[in-house]
Amino acid sequence: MNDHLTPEDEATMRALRGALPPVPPPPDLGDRIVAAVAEEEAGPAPLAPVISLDARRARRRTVLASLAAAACAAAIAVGVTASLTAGGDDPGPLTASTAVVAQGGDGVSGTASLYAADEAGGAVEVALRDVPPPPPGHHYEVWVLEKGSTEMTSVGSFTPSSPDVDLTLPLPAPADYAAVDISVEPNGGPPAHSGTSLAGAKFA
Amino acid sequence: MPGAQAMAAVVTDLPARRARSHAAYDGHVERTSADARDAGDIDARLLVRMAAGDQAALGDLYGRYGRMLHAIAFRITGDAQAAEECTQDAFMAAWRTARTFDPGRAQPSTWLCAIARNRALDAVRGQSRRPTPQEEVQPTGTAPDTADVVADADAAVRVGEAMARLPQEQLDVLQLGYFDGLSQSEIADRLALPLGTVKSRMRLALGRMRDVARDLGLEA
Repeated sequence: MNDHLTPEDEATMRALRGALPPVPPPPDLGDRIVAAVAEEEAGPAPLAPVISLDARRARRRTVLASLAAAACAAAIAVGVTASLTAGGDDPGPLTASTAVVAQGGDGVSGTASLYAADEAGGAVEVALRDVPPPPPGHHYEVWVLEKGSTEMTSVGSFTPSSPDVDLTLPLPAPADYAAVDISVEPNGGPPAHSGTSLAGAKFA
Repeated sequence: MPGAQAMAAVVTDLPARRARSHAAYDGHVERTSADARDAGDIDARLLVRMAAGDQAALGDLYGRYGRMLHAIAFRITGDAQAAEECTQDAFMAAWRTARTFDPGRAQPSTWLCAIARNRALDAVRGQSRRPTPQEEVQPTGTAPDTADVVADADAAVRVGEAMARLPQEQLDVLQLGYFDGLSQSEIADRLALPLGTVKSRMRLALGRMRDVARDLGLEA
């Protein structure tokens, strides 16, 4: 099959390049911007509040979780799992809970639990153990899959600084959920699921 | 363990689900307004995540718009270092102000392009105001006309915004050809797509961009 653009498309490409020059940024600019934001967010003297995990589990409410590097590092230093939480609402009644299983069977373990999944404001709690660092330039993303659906929905992402990660994330809508998946995503990649999973859980 | 078998099925299903998801995208390629809405929805969700402190969402937003914003900034400043700084400033500003973004007033892509444009114009204006060492004065040199710079900036933004409204799969293909100079075969290899799919997406993308070029009087 001919690899060339049609003459008309070539002309369009040339015309557009006259207005918007095809000068790509340095390949690492995106990573540097995210790093600059992380540094800015960490502030000059990061203080990681160390909160009892049990207490946190009892009261935490969901937010999207991106684990700020400095805060996590401080949490790890004292051997506490890291989680971003907000508010003081109870997550609601437990709807379902099941084991998280690593892709391939070895490595990450843990549990995934649904709270009030059939109500507005429901949440999914993911407790992971033995989480490896993501590959350079990658992070992890948590997805949920509704029963009868073929498309997963992202509910949050994280970059762990500790092997132990506890997250409570808002469910997108009241529904009967079939599975939770933790994917490996490239930083700055497209929003769709990468197709590569670290681990997952299927609810009965 | 029952969970192990169950999860194995979920992981195995992932590529198929992803493929179906892309097939759903393909079903929208002829609907410009719907595509723009879909792209806007994706961006709006990223901004919501950014407002909640999700730095990975900022990385995703950069993946969608980094090259476009950098190109806009380069078109205006004409300087690679300044373009890089403007791009970084624009995304940092987007991060800080994501919670104030009002989707009822503008598309996220419009908002982002405007930030980059304004940062770059500020850079150019700052450069023109900066005292010039005597030895660097060029007697025959002429300062760029401000109106020309603004007109160039607006044309660059129009092109960037039009790219941003393309469906993601068309944008992915176009950006690799446009910014990275890859041939369609190379794009097919990079994205692990059939060459025919790449050509189809490239043709659709350039067909839409041709209308923008005509509106701007860019077509030869």
